[in-house]
Amino acid sequence: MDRRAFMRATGRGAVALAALSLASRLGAQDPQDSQGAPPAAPSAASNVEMNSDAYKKVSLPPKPDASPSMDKDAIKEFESKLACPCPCTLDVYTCRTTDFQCGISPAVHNDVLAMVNGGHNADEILAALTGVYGDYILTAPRKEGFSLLVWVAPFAALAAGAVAIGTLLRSWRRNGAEGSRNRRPSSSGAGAATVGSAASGTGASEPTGVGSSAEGSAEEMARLEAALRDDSR
Amino acid sequence: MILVGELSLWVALLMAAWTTIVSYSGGHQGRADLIRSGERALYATFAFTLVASIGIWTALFTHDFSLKFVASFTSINLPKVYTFTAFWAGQSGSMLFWCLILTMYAAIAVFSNRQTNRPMMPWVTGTLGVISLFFLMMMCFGANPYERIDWIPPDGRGMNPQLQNPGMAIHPPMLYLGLVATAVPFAFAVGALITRNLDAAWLGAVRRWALVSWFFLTIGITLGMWWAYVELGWAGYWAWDPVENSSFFPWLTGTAFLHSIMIQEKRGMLKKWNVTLVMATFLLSILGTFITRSGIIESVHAFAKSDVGYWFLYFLIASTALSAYLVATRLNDMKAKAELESMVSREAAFLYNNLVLVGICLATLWGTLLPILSEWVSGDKLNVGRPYFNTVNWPLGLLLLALTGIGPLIAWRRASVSNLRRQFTFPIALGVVVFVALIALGMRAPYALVSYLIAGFVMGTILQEFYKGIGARRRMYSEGLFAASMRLVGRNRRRYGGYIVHFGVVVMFCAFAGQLFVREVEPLVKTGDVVKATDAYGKEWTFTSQGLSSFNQLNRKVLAISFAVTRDGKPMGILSSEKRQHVDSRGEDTFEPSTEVGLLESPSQDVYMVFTGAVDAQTAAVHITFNPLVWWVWFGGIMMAFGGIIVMWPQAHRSERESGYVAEMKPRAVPELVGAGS
Repeated sequence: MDRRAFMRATGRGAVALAALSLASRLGAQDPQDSQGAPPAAPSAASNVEMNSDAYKKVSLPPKPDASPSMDKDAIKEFESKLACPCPCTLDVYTCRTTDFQCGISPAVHNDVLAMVNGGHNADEILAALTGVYGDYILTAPRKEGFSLLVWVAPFAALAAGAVAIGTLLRSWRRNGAEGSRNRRPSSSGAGAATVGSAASGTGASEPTGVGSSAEGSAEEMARLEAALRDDSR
Repeated sequence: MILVGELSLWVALLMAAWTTIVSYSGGHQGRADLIRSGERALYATFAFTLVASIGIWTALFTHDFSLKFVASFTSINLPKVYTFTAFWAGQSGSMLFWCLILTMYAAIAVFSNRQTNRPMMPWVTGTLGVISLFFLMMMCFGANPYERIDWIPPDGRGMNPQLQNPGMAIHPPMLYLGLVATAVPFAFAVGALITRNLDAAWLGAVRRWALVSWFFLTIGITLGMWWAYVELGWAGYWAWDPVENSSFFPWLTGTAFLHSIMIQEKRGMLKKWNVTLVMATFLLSILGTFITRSGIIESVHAFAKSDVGYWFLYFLIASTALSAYLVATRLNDMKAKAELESMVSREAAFLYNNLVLVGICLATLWGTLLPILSEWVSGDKLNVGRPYFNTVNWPLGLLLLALTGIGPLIAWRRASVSNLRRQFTFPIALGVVVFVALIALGMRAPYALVSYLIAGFVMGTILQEFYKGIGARRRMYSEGLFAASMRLVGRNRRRYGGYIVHFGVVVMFCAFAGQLFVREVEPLVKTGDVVKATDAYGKEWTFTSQGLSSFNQLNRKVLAISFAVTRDGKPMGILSSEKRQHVDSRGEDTFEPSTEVGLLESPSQDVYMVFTGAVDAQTAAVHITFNPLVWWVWFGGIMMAFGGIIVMWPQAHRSERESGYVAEMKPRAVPELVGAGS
């Protein structure tokens, strides 16, 4: 970067910062302000470069004799499902009520409030917003149509994995049964005799061929011993 | 020193290239002189990278603003501690820091294996040399911290205020220590695959490094959560942001590996899977770095977008191709005779544990990459935020939590019905008691109830394991309770350290469930106004505004609002939140105004306040959140790290007395110990 470019960048930054400082002190993000005009120049989150094109005005003509269609809590819930068009990755409600010096989320909030006051319900407002922004305004894909795949895929993959593991375990069990049959003639009395070697913690030296007797058996003793002697390696 | 540092960077580049060439050549030709030369060159790479790093620190502390990096991230009035941490505050500096850690790890790994694993070490050294070479090339030709500007500004731009936080001073180094450590197991995996030494021998070295990686990632992620919580101001600690997710991927696969490695150690099984996990963990670290550095996915705290990210993409593609080739051509060498007596066994529990861990990783990766994938496929960009990640990962997380409790209760190879009944009785009973108690106390949130039910069950498992282990030691060695407890952990660090990690996980899940009971208010207040609110416990809080005040402090101008707080009429102290405008040494504003949150912390809940903005000279907008159980997230993280230290701590030699205790045991003396963590 040459000196001229550096100066230009510094100058632009200084102007932007001065504007931001003024905006933050005077305009602020007033969550209660339904009449505030969208900011002329969106400010920047502390470490996120805002895109002034990110905000797009969305409006619907008020219905005759309109009254607000949602209360404060319903608006909060509704805005929690809207992604702020700035790169903060937060929802509109969270973004406009936190540290971020974002001018976009309050502007979207004002649009929502205007439509709420115009008597439009949540579905109508959502349709208007997605009509302008596309589904990118939603914090998560819809659970319908092609987007449903987004939600189903992880669970489908998990189910496939579970089936694969089940198949794998069955094959191991078949191997185990064969191995057991092959070893049976020499496996009697293995439990107590192999207690000492079991402590090494390796599969090869663990007692094998122990039958179905469970509680208090030599196998249990070996396992206990292995448990307490299996020092970290 | 700065010039020496700059030259050292180039010498380090040459040393890394030499390491790579002679190590691979030495390994291929079996020439000891080349192998030795490669190892020495790797040590030299570390030494010169260290000198290059010292050069940057020198430039930072001497305020040499002729360096673009110094001018971009520091200023004369920046506090000394943040001048030091500015080293990793920007792109090129953080790359050098990354490289410093990498070459340090590489030198340690090679030095500690100078007598062991010799057949594979040339390939390990060469692979570590390649990775070092990549980072050094990227710095020398893409993001050089020694890049100069052709005039010297009187002061630097300063550091982003949000990075001027103790959490951010420690969080990146911890994360880097974790992410970079994945390179060592990767190098060993490459070495083992090339030399076809795929038995348990290489696992010993790999396991320690995997633990190091896991340990630092755990600390780094927890510190990152803490930083986000106290600094970003949205009253949460995990937003499923792409950068957060990027650090989570290798943690998940690393955790899966630390469990599945036990199956290979005990049974000689899962060789292919373990090699795949080791390689995937490293590749996910690189993928995460690509996501972070390229800016390809929008993120609230992604580094500046730059072409450097694409260096990682190319490296990722090359590494993935190499890994896939090596694994594919060595499949026959990794065959093992896998046997299992029963479907109900520890092996099966570990496999399902791996499935869920990898499943969470893939689900998170899927959600993270979906915005760009959807744009590529359909042209329409989808947004994937918290609702998706919470909906998908919450049930998977609970499943994982349940497996955390189930695994230790089932014996290796097989478990009988009576054995299972005895093992599961107490943990299930404890879970049910917790569940019923919470319902009796009025809790109705289904997700929370299920979470605490499972958490109670897992706690039951952990308590039972400790109880039985301590009891066994007391009987076998006639030890007192305290001595038996300490020695149980001390003599079996891997097992009981692991249980302490599990305890930390349980605590964290309990804390996560607390998020279902968040309460918040967003009032506009003038001086003297009283805000009343009720928390999730039904306590009445009042916040009496003390008004706005402005003052200068260190390198910033501050506008603050304070409240006198009471809970059920009892004074709880003063809660303040600030808007800060940082200034440079000439008093000029730098960066955007930032907010310092107000926090009243306690184990039951945090009262979290953000000064959203001043509406006029008298009126302020604030956002007050009652955040239950957040304190336990940090405690859980500490416990996980503590357990990790115990697991990693070198094991002392066994005493003769203990090694001979077998003969003292009588059958059926301790029948309740079946499957006790064996």
